[in-house]
Amino acid sequence: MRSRLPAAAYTDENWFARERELLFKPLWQFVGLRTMLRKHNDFITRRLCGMPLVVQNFNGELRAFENLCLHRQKPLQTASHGNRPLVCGYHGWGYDVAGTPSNIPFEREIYRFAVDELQDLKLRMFPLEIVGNLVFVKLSGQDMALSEQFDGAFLDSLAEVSNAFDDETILTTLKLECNWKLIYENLRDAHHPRYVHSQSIYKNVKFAVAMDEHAIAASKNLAESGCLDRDSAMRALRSFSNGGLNEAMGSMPSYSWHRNVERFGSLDWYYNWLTFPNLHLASGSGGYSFIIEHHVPVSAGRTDLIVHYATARKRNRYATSSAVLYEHMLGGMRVLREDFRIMEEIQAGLHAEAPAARLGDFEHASAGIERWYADAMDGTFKL
Amino acid sequence: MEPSSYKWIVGSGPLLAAAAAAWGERMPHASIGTIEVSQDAGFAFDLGALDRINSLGPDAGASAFVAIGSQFMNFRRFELMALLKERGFKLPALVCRGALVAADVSLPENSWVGAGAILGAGSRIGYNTFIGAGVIAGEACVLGNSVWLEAGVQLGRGSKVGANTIIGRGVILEDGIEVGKGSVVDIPGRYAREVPARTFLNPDFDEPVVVVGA
Repeated sequence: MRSRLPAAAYTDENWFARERELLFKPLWQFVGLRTMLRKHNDFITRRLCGMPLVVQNFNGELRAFENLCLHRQKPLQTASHGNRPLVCGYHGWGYDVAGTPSNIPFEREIYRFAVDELQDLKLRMFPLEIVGNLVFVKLSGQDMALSEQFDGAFLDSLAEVSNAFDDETILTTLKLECNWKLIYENLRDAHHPRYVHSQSIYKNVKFAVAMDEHAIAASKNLAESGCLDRDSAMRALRSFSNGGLNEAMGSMPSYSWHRNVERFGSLDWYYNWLTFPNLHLASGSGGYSFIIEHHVPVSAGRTDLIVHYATARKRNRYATSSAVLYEHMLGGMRVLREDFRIMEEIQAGLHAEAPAARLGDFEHASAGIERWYADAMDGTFKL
Repeated sequence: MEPSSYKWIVGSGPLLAAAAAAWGERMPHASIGTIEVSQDAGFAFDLGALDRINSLGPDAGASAFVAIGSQFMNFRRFELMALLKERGFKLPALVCRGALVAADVSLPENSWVGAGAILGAGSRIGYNTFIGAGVIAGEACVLGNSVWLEAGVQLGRGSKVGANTIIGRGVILEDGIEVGKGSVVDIPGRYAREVPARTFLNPDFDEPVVVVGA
């Protein structure tokens, strides 16, 4: 079947700006790992949909604020993560858990704000939810519980697997020259590994296409009929996120560090969780370690991938744990780069008159999501 | 003067042969044996190769040296070194031809100073540290245990490199700069700022790779 998405959906900046407003901002989005926010004053900063965010721990309470001082708009936290009070480095304004200035040095002497102006000072705060060790925020739109976006069983599964993450995490940001949707279309495509990853992960994990006729019929129905109202759109949305056991591994290597961690599950399987719209979790080690991929759309043709690795929880500290994580990052990069090369080649080839993609039945999930996406973008329903 | 007439060089790859040649120069009358230790799919060493040592062990006055690359942040070299120490071997440092080591610098076990390297006065070197050919370490440098300095690295006076850290080719640390433990600095250039512990500067990545939490 012909894809509903024109090349502009991947290349046009006006389209991208509309996508931010209509799709990303109203949805719950992953923002970071709670394991990086354990202690009082731990923080992470991110820029989602152009919004500079800080998520900060205030004596155990996590809050998400716009990361700009109310005085002169300087970012309050400037590092990507760390441990520091929420204080502006420009004139020393400090903020509390409610986002109000708890300290404005020399306020009476030199600022002389009126009482009502002082009462008006409050950082923009965003709704925040925690699922296991995953922190989500919502930037705008109508009230929507996390359980409206994600199925209850899926949330339970996310909580279970992310609670298995160790607190020690390795991360970096990769700058990809492609639209975020290409990445998720690829992640939903179980047919490409035999070609793209034939010399890496496919050697050990023979990813197979699941031709589930019932699911194919349901996706085709969604693709043809679309979403008539918000309720049906939310039902469809909940079906877009799923995960768990994915594929049996051919062999299970045994590494000495395995004995130092509490394995998640006991099966020699590849695990995979796709969390709509832009979070991917996986374990390519049968539950001994995990990759957490947060794809942050930057522009129509640019996506930042904040990639994290964590092992399963340590039984005890061991000297080589950060070396283990670095080896994961190096090894994982090989597979990631194999995908990125394809995504970036597709992106580079797109142009205004490029033919629409042709999807086979095995790509039914993407076909259904495309229709839902098209309905969201043309205002058939509002998130 | 090397006390033993037997030397076992244990390791793998090109460095095994390089160490054997260098020890041959240091101990022209000694018997130098090399033992190639392979690793399985899980990176466990095949220690059966050490059976060759037989009676020519520490009791026979033999010493040893470990010569493998910086694999796994130098923990693999350390693992082999520890195995040999458990068997009673001493692992004296190797100083290659042309190296200039200041008189007050002591070289602990299994450290390797490559050809033409210069170690300034007052420097402190950790065990199992590899100092590549032509490295210049200014006065009062501090290198932790199991550090790896690639050939040609330059360390300014008073600079510090934490344990299990790798400094790659083309890196120059300005005077007094510290690179924390368990890091990799492998992007050529002059570094005038501290590199925190568990930070990996690798040219294959767009941004630093960092480890957080414990």
